[in-house]
Amino acid sequence: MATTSYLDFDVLARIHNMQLLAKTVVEGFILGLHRSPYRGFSCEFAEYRQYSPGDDVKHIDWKVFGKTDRYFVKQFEEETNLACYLLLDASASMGYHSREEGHSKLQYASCMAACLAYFMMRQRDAVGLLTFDTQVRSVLPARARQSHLKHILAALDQQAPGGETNIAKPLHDMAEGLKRRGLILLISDLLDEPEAVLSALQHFRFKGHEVIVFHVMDNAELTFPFDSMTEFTDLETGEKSLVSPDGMRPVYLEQLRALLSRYEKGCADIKADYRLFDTTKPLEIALSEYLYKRSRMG
Amino acid sequence: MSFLSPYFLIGLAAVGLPLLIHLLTRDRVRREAFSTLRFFAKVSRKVLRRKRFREMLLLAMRAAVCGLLVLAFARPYLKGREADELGATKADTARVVLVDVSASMARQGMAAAAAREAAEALASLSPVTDAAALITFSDGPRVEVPLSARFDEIRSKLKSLAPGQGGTDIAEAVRKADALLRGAAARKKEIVLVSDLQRAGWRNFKGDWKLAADTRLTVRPVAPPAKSDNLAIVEADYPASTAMDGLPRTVAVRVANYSVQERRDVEVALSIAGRKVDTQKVHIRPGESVPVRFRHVFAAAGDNPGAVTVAGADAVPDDNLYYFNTRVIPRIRVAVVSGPAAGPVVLIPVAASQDAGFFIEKALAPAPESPFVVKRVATARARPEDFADVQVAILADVKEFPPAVVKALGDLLARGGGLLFLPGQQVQADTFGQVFGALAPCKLRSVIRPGGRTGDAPGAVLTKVDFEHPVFEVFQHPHYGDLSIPRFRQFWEVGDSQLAHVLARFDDGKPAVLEREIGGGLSMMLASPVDLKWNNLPLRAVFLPYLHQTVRYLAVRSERRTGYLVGETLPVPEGRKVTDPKGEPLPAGSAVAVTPGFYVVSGSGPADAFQFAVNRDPAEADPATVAPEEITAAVLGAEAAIAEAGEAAGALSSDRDRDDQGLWWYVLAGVVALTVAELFVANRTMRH
Repeated sequence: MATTSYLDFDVLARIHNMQLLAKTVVEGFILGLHRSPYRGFSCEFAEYRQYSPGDDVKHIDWKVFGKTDRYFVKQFEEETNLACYLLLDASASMGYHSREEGHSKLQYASCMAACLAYFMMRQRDAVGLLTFDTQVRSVLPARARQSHLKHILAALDQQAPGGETNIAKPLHDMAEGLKRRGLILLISDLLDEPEAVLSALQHFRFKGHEVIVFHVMDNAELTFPFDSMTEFTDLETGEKSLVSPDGMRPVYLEQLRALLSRYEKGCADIKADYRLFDTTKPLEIALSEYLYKRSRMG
Repeated sequence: MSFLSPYFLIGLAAVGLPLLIHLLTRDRVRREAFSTLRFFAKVSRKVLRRKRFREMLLLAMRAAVCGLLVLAFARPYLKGREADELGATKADTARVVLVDVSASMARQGMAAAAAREAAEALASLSPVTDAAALITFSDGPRVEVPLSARFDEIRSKLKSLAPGQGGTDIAEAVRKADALLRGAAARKKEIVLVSDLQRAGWRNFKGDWKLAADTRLTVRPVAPPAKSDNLAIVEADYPASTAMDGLPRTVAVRVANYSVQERRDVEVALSIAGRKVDTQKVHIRPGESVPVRFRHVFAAAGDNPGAVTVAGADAVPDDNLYYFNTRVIPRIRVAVVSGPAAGPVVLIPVAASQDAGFFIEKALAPAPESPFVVKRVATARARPEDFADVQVAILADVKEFPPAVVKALGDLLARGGGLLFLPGQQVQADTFGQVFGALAPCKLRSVIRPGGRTGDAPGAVLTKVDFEHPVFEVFQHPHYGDLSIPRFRQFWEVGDSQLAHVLARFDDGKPAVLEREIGGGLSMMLASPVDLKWNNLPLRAVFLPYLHQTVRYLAVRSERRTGYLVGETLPVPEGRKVTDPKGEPLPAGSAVAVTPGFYVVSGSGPADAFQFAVNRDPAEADPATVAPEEITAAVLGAEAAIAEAGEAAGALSSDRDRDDQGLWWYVLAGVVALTVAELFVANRTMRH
């Protein structure tokens, strides 16, 4: 796996153009692929099949007809049946960032989604974007056209933290709404009831989707580094709580570990890939995860 | 609980230090937005409460460490033994501190020096293991603080110690301390005497007792000021009572010069009833004294309060003044009854000198200015009216009276009058018992003739005279009359005298003079008449003063003394009220003179009121001292070790193990334990 300094998100975050950012990450990633072991599939693969009524006649290979006097439909090398859906959590909790001039989880997740979209477009996969908080906020259907990427990147660029998190409901709604089977990439902090979330993911699996979960967490959420008496304000509910971090840290970390374990185990059970992201981690790890999953799907 | 070093308790303010540091360094609350509170919303309060509890616990422990440290330095001890008057509790050392508060200690700086000496005597004692008592004394000891561990109370009393006006009785004070220590259970028993050691204060020691063998005495002398300039009246003589006869009486005082230089033209003044009546000037050389005599006619009946004053300021002005009171007695009406009783007249010529009433009349009223008004009454003609207006009735060889006259004599006694029986030749024992049994102090049995039938034998004399009695006190001193001179050839042997007080006896032991209170009056008897047939008393010099004193006593019994010293109990009649020189009433039943001046005893009217003149003991002015060694040698028993005079009392127990005071060690141990606990809790609190 290639890890270069210019792929560090702190550096990338200074690039305000989402497309440029995605391009930088993906090109860098592909440059690294030449030296990487992932080189298995080719998008130039094509085959013929016998014409059947209903097929578009424009796809009939007339040369083959001339030789064999039979109608064969030529499957175009750019054609794919994989639709990738990026499900981006835009709830208020995703707006959390621990450092003064740091980037929020939503920014990180948006960049991750942009990179994935850019990369998928290069793979000729259709890419769709769905954002949600307590409900589905926006839907961009999966398209493989290059112009669609602009819409996706523009939509990602405009994302702002919204209301409370209620992942399960919009996920169920989306599972019901997506007719075409494909790859579901959920990018969220998953701060909801694990059982409900896993149930929604199970819903996707039931519909025949492959599921990858990118669990985005701030470093402060994972380590709880606070040391003095602090009054915490919940970003979603506005609730306040006075906490002695010294006494609270063990309790917090224990509950967090339980939550992460539950998601990891739950995803394994439903055969979904689960990956925990610290907002300080490089974005290409997400691309690697996608490539690995894509290769397994053939 | 009390403290050996209470000033360290000021450090208790340090208890506030942990709180102050806590307030100054406590966490400032940060405000932080966070993605979710779901992980600690429920437990945060619990954790916060636990943290706050630990912090409070920590704060309390640190404050307790500071407080206990201060307490340890203040050296606490338990005062549980205070309640005990010792005896129930075994003490290591029981020490009684005697502090002289007599008038002589009022000289400049001596009271403070005595308080310092007494405080030093206590310094080496431990309130935990030892006991102490404080006794102040002047003319008598007074237990200020009994044997106990109440050292603070003793020190407090010492600070407020003020000499009074009383005399000094060192022996009685040491004896009181010894009695206190005899009842105490202690390993060491010590008496510390703090006094100026006036020799006059040791004069009452008769050498008839010793300290207990296990009791030691240490004397701490308090030296008087080096240059004391003092004149003092050291002796006074004045008539306590006198008749209203218009004759001058002598008031004499002796003025001593205790200065180091001669005093010239010292003015000595006599004042009567607040008015200066005479002044004399005297020269007194240092260390000597001079008499000063005044002659004055006491014209006013009743009390004549007076004072002699020595002019000029000196170190002790109180001893420049001497109070006295001369009581002028108005003429006493006396009925003298003599002669044969009514009945068959036996004409036996009787010489005037043989009449029992003759010498009495001559003795009581030799001239018209006599203080007595004598009414002669013949026995046969006596009537009740004869005794209605007299104060004293003298029955000179009276055999019997009609019942009405006997009743009149009873009335005389009932109103406080006096009866004097002088039984002689005419009296018959049986008749006397029947007629005068209820009025006489005793009955008669038979006539005793120590002089023989012919009177050739020398006869009986008076012995065992009660010279303390007012009648005979004038004969107490040598050359003031010899009562053994009169010879009694015959006298009556008395019987049933159990209720009577015998004032004098004949040389064979038989009662000669008796008295008995009957009703409100007084009945007296001389068991021999005043005539030349039975004795030669009328011819002797003691007859007149004896008769005068007797009649005065029977008429006015309260005229015993008019002058007293501070500390003495005034003889206030029952039911009377007495006020001190400031006009404050003295408590009933305890008329002890505390300050010099005139004490007024109230009566039913102004005529009944009388005054006592009270002075401080003139000996208090005498700077002569007794050596400490003389005191210790006189009172210490054979087995007792004699402590060096002037030795510091603290040296007696300087080898004491001071660690016995123990309690502060436990407090320190508590501090260490608390510190360890604090470290543990602090470590836990910091980690969480």
